[in-house]
Amino acid sequence: MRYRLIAVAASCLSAVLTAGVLRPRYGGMLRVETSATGEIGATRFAGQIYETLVRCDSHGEMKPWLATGWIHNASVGKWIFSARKNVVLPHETLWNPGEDTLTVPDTKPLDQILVEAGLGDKVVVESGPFRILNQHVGESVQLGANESYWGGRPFLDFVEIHMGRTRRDQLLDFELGKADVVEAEITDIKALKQANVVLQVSKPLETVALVFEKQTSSLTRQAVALSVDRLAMQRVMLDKQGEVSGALLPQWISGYAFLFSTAHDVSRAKALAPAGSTLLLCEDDRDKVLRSLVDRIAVDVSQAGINVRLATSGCEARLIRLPISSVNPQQALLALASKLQIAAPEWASPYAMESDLLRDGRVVPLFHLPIVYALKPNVRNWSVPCNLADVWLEETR
Amino acid sequence: MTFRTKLLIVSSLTVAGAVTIVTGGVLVAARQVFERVDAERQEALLEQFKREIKTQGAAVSAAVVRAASSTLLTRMAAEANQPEPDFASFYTDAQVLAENTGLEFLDITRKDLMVLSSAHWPVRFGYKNDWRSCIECKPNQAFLTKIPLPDGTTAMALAAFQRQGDLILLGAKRLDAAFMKALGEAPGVRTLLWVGPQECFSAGGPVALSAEFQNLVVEALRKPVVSRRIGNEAYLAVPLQQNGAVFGVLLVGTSLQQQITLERSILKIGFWVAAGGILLGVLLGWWATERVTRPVNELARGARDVAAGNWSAKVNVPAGDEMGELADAFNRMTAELVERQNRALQAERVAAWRELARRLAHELKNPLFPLQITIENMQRARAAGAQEFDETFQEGARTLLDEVRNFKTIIGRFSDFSRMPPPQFERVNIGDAISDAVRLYEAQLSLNDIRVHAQVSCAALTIDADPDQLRRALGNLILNAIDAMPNGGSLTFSVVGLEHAVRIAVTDTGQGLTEEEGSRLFTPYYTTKQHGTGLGLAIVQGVVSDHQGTIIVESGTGRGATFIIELPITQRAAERP
Amino acid sequence: MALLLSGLAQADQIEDAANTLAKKIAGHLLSQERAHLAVRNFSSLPAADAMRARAKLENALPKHSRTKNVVDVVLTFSENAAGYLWVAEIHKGEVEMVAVPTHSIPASLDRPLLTKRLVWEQSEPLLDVVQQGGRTVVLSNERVALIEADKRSDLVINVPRVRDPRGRLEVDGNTLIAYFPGATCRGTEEPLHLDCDASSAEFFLNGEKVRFMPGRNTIAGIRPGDETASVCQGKKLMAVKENVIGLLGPNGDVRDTTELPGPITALWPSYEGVMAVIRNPETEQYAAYAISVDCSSR
Repeated sequence: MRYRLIAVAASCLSAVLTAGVLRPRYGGMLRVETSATGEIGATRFAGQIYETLVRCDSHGEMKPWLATGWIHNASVGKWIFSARKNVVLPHETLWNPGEDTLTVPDTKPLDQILVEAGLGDKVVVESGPFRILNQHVGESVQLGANESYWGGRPFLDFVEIHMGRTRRDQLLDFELGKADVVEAEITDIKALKQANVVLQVSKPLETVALVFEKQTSSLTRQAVALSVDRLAMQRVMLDKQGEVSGALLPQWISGYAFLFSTAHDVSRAKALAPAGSTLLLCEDDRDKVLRSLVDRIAVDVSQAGINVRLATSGCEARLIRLPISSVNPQQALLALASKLQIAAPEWASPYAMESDLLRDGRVVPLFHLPIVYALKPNVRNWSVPCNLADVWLEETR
Repeated sequence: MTFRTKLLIVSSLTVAGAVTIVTGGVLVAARQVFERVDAERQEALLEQFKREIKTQGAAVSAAVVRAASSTLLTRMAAEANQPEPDFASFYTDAQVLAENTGLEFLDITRKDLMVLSSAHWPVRFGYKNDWRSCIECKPNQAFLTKIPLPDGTTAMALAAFQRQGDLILLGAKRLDAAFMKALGEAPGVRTLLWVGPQECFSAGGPVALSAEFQNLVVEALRKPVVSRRIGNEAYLAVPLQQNGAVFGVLLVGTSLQQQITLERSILKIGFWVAAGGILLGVLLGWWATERVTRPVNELARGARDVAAGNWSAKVNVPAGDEMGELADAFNRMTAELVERQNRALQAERVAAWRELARRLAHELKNPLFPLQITIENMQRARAAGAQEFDETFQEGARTLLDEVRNFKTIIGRFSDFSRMPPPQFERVNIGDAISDAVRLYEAQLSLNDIRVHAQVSCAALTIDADPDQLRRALGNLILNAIDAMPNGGSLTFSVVGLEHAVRIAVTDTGQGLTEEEGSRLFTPYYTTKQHGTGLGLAIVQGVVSDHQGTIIVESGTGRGATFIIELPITQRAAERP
Repeated sequence: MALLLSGLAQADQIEDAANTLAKKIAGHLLSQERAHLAVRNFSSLPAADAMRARAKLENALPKHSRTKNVVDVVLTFSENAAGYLWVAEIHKGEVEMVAVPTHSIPASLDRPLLTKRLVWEQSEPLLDVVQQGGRTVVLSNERVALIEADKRSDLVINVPRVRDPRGRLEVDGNTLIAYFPGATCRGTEEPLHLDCDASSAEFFLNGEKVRFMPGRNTIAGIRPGDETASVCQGKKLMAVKENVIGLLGPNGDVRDTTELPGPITALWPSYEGVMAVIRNPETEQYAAYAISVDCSSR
């Protein structure tokens, strides 16, 4: 929200003023570690390399990005985007999109057109503030500053991102000085604070949800959803971090998350659970927090008379982290549908779209968790969602 | 089954039975001794187990007391008393306490047993502790319990609890392989602790129970003590109970190897003794039966010889016992039989000569009468005058010559019968042979008003035969039929092909034969007719016999007669030209 | 249940938004039905604005005072990244959605402050107090009092006695409902009149339907001592000590506290925060304090 940004900006300013001579420094390499896997384009860092016509701002509104604006030509029934002029592509060529690229039929509402454009349905250009220098998919990516970036050259020269690292390994690397920024478990916040580690805790930007396979019975899903004691888990196991929720989107993004039930009703779950029903629940050995949550879910669900077995494959349900990629509710929901590999809901109000996604009970949201970054003291201006272009490294003495 | 076999079986069984009874008795006695020793060893181990439970229980109880008096639990008790206690801060406390005190299981609960912190199952906070099985137990008193584990199994453990303010601390140590090791098993003794369907361990680690063991455990869960032999071990299953609830089953097994070795030795000795006894029995039996069965076999052989026609057979059995007397009686019997046969043959031979003399006399007497008359006529003519003599002489000479010829014929017939040549075989069509024979006697048949019928199943039926002898034999049968039907009748030839022979049936409709006549029909010189030599049918039988065939007659008085000849289709090659 | 979402921008937009939302709620009501509002504030909307919005909304909703067909409507002042969002859940077994977009957000706010105000004091055990307009309705164990300026009307009620008496008062326009363990009294303020029946009817508490356990001092679904009032964004007011009301953050951290002159005997959500009833051991008087949260200031 805007007022929060102002607050952050104010605190940064205050830090600068206190230091007296500190100004953003150009240069240096930032070493980041993340648990995300796959192509860099599918992670939170995608926006640092690839750009779209529009982007969602911190209020969830779609704002011009590579497009500087859009007008409606009623006579041809199209929305026409105007392209930014000074966008430079990897081989130092100017981005010069064709007319077709910049026109969209007005058969859909403008909101939907903008959200889809923000998701890269129309244009994705490798024109971000950083360029890929080297990539080992799923393992590491080395980024270099885009000297000709239309928004101004980033402060950092290089960013090295190590992917697929468990949070435990990340913390180890952090302590050994092998990484400047790592993701920390929310359960480690207390300990890290006691160790005077600089932490950046985001708003809830991750949904922890139980995802059922198609073949599981609807009654079993309902019984499981009712038997899970979210509040106990959040208070004790998540150290009161994050939020308990029955919604895909966190309350601060949607504003209506409380409408989705988080009821814990074992007797109703018992009544719903088919006699002799079983559930093969998968646990991810690499994710400590999810593993302990799965263990607790198994205990809770067994109270409903469902025989739960834990496994690592062939599962009927698994607990996963779903990154919330946008502050715009509809854009976030479409991205979630894609991530969950379920049919995207019809375009409607965010509440209707979310209700649609959750209707069959295959996805049972449990918590919204913040993302916690541990930062080396010289890392400045780190923000969530990531904007590496504004990050700079203070010179270490 | 021979007498010898029976005798051998009986003697073998007797020896084997005796040895078995002795061996079994020794085995039972040995087993009882071993079982008594095993029971004592098992009892000692059970006592050791109970002592170890007490010792370990005291250790658990001490550890629980240590944990309950720790500052950590004191802090927890104070925090739990706050209006809004922070349960999150308790989450890992039990694990810390467990590590410090060496307790494998540790739950910190409220008074109502709601778990605030669990060491072995941290995520179970908020639920009631479900292994405080011993409600009546006092603090410091260890008790057996079953602790549910996250993987769905249970662990059997020795537990104790302590109160600290409004909190209850429950600690436990698992009864596992290490505990079993502490029992210190004696050689030949094996101890297993069954805790649940999927959990059983010995001092060496987890053990997968076979179906036999599982059955034993199931039985032990219902009865106080069950003992059973499984494989080479004898097991005693004792349910472990606390306040009426069964937490597991202790299985104490003692090796039966020594017992089995002894039993095997006894069995081995018993086997060899039985085998030796049986062998000796066989040899003795053989000797004994040899003495008994040899004369019997000799008698049997003699009887078989007599049956085969050797009436002079004798058996050679030493005298002196019952078998010797039997042999003497047999030899006397055969000697008597031979003597009687000789007498019968002699009588038959005399009878044959008499018949031959009668026949010769009859045959020769017939031509003698005309000779006598002729000579007397010629004598009378001589006396009457020369002319009449000449006339009479001429006629008388002719008659004399005829009768002399007649004499020659009679003598020739006898001569022919005695000098019948061996047959000269060639392929002869039976139908043709019958036709030729009938044709020879066509005039006589016709004269006697006899109709001839022929039924030949296959016109081209040929056999190896001497055509002249065959015709002669058939001719004799035709002549015999003509004689049998003086008032006419019908003569039927029927030929039927068999597998390796042909059957020729010659049937007349004459007066038939009596039984006695039938039995003597083929005897030479025997005839029922007033004329003839009685050689006709004997010749027929001779021809048939020379052709390796058979002839029989079927007849009855007034029913006519049928002569049935069977001749082989082929003769042996050496006999063919 | 119907859901009506409305975004609100600025303070002067409250009236427009309330009117719009009221129209949309009314669109789901039949001519014989009357909406019964229960309000909760999950947003940073200042308590005063929330109260104003509620009043505007109630005024804008159609009035059918004689009808008995009451439709419960839970109005939640919520908020998302784009601004305020008003969510109305119409408990009619159907789902609908109405949105009122908003584009601006009032001044930043973070740390709310608690203020307390003595509303009523009496020697007789006090169960609940509601202030509406210039009137104060006081619920005691055996009577209801209506105070307006210097004028006071008393109505004696006869409900089953409980050793630790509790009661909840709801004032909705002229309608007056008093809930007791084992009894419910319905009536009007003007004239002051109540009809009681021997049943524990359900009422809304923080958007949840609850009811008193007959013959007990507990509320079904709430543990004793867990009475809270949700305010601002994920924050709540509750007794953190026997005489202290605390403002707890979403993570359970205490943001602010206010001390009262005696142990709290009742704590009910109110428009501005909570109404706390205490018994002052020194004066042996029962007193009701209105505790309000200023969500708009740090």
